[in-house]
Amino acid sequence: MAVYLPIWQIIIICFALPAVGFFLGVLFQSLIRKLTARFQGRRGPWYIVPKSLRPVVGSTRILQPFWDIMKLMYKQTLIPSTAQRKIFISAPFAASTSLIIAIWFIPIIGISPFGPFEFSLIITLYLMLIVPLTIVASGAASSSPWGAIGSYREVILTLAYEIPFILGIFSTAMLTGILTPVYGGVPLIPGSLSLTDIVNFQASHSISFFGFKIPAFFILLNPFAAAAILMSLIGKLKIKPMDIPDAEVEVIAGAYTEYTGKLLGVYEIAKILLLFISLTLFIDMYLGGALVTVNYLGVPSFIWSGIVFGVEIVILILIISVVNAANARFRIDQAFTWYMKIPLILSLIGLVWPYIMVSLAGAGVSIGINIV
Amino acid sequence: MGLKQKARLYSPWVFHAHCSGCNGCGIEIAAALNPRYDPERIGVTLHNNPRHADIMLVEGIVAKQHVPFLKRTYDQMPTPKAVVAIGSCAITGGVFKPDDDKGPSYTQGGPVDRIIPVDVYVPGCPPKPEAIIDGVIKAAIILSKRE
Amino acid sequence: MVKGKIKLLKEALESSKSIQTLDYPGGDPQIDYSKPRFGSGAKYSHICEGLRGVPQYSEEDCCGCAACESVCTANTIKTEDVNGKRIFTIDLGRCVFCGRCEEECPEDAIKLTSRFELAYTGPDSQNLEKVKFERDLILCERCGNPVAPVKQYEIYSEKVVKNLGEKWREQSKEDIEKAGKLCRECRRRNAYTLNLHTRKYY
Repeated sequence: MAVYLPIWQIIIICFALPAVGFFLGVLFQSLIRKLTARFQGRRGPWYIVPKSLRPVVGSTRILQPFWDIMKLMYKQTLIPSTAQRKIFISAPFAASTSLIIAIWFIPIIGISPFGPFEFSLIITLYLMLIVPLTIVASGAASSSPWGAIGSYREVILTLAYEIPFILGIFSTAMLTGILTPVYGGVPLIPGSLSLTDIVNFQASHSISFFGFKIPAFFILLNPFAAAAILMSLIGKLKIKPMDIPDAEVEVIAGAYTEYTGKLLGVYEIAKILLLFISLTLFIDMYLGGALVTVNYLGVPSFIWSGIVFGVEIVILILIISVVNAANARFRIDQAFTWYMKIPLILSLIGLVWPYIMVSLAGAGVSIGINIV
Repeated sequence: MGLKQKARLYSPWVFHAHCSGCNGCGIEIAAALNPRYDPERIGVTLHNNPRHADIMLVEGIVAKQHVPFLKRTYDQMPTPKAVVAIGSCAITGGVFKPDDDKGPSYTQGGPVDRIIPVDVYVPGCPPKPEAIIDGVIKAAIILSKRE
Repeated sequence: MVKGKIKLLKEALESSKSIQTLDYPGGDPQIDYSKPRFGSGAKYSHICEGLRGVPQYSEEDCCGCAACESVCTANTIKTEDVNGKRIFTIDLGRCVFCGRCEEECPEDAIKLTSRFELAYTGPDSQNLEKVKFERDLILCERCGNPVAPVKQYEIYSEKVVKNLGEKWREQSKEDIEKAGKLCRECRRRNAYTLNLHTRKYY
């Protein structure tokens, strides 16, 4: 089933994808800042600076997160004398390196050098889990009390959101295996842990949803798992109700308190890559990977895919920004209990949901969804 | 303008040091950073951590007991850095130093520029939020020209 | 809890329609804010009526009476009489923009403008808002101490004569000629010889 690209293409894509991912991540981050500002009644980073100010502050701020990172890269880097030097320095690099590798396994509009790899989903999950681990390690190694509190909060939050996240991901991966033989008799694909297989499954099948024929988005087949994963992503990305580990007014900057200059810049890069990877993973898993295979109106299919990708990303970012603007920060115990209540239950329902669908289809009960 | 200068001009991160002031300037700084004036339009964000900041906003007369801590906070900032003294207390001593002949108040550690190097002075008691934003922009321009 | 969250979401969506941010950096104070403009959330000007900005000194109108110094709350305006000249030093680093000097100035030489972008960079810079100007003084004819600035003397000698009734006009002119250019001490000491005892003008 796995179709690999030629080796030279793989090498080029391996170098190009992290750069593209970083650039897109910067755009997403700036859009989140802009939309959050709008929902708070502010203007946010200026996309078009007024003419009278242009000689002083430049003409546009679309790439505001990029400028932040560049500024940090040109700053002095201080390392506390009491810190565990090796862990303190290597942690941000470990975070960003693991995320650069993770980009290789995630299909972006179907393009991915290692996406067809058999267990690319599991590898991605592991690589994404390295980030909270490095944050915990760096906070503990910085020998700052704020860093220690930040690490402690990060551990609890990671434990809380990681359970529904992984349960949701696997219940969705099972959909590819279970649903096909029952609905419509298409050739059987074993329940696949390869992201490219999951994307291709959604692109090549379509479902009739109460008579309408639409692509087989897994968000329609398993909405519970999708909701659980969206909720866990809010914790993973430290969106407002869940930004407890680096809460500004409580713990100065959490685990990042002692980080300055270039090391902080590397962490900022990791944050932006994590944003890009999380959103792309959600699109790959639930929104068909934005893959369009037909050349509508004579326009090449990859342009259609890009448009669809953009629209889906904007919708996701809109949801994230509204949540970011409309919520106050949870306490860490509230966050833990909330994750144990709503997303965990949703993901458990999502885990059982494919079996319910299969048994309902076996009993001849129509729930309005049919895979064609 | 090179990449370095541009990056420094485009994202000045601000840290607010409250050095025994009457809180008048503190309120105005808080007002300057709120949605009404929204300095995030030009990239200014508040970080309450000197390690992450580029520009320090100092208010108040800096009482004698506060002097070592202001020095320490200044040393915690990575270079390049800029300091903005806000309000007449921070610039000259203001009402706490009524006359040059009579000498300052006995609690006064001196205007800010006697303790740490100050780049921009924003007069007023308290200055308008717009004046503070103007001072921050001027400080960012100075910052971008630093080595 | 769900009800509250829905209310918050509604509020977030509503506030996205009405942006509260002022036009300050880059805005034009001449804009008419009564009409809504496309693409701008600002509804109010950042320069309001009665804004007390930097005081402006008109050196031509100033008579040098130093009423502003006596009334200044923050010792922003200071004067010094050196070598027959009154030197005004105005250090805006101390100014609290209270507007008392504008109120008290008899010649309307000080006016608070609406200019508020006062940030200056260091004591050596050209932006430093430190004003310095001089007024010539009249020196006492007998002891050489300063009496009053020339301009103030001219203005007030005219005013005194003009404001008094017909009855006393000649007498006051005479008095001013006799004792106008004497300092206070000398005037007091020589009050009898100059025939300057207190008169009931009114």
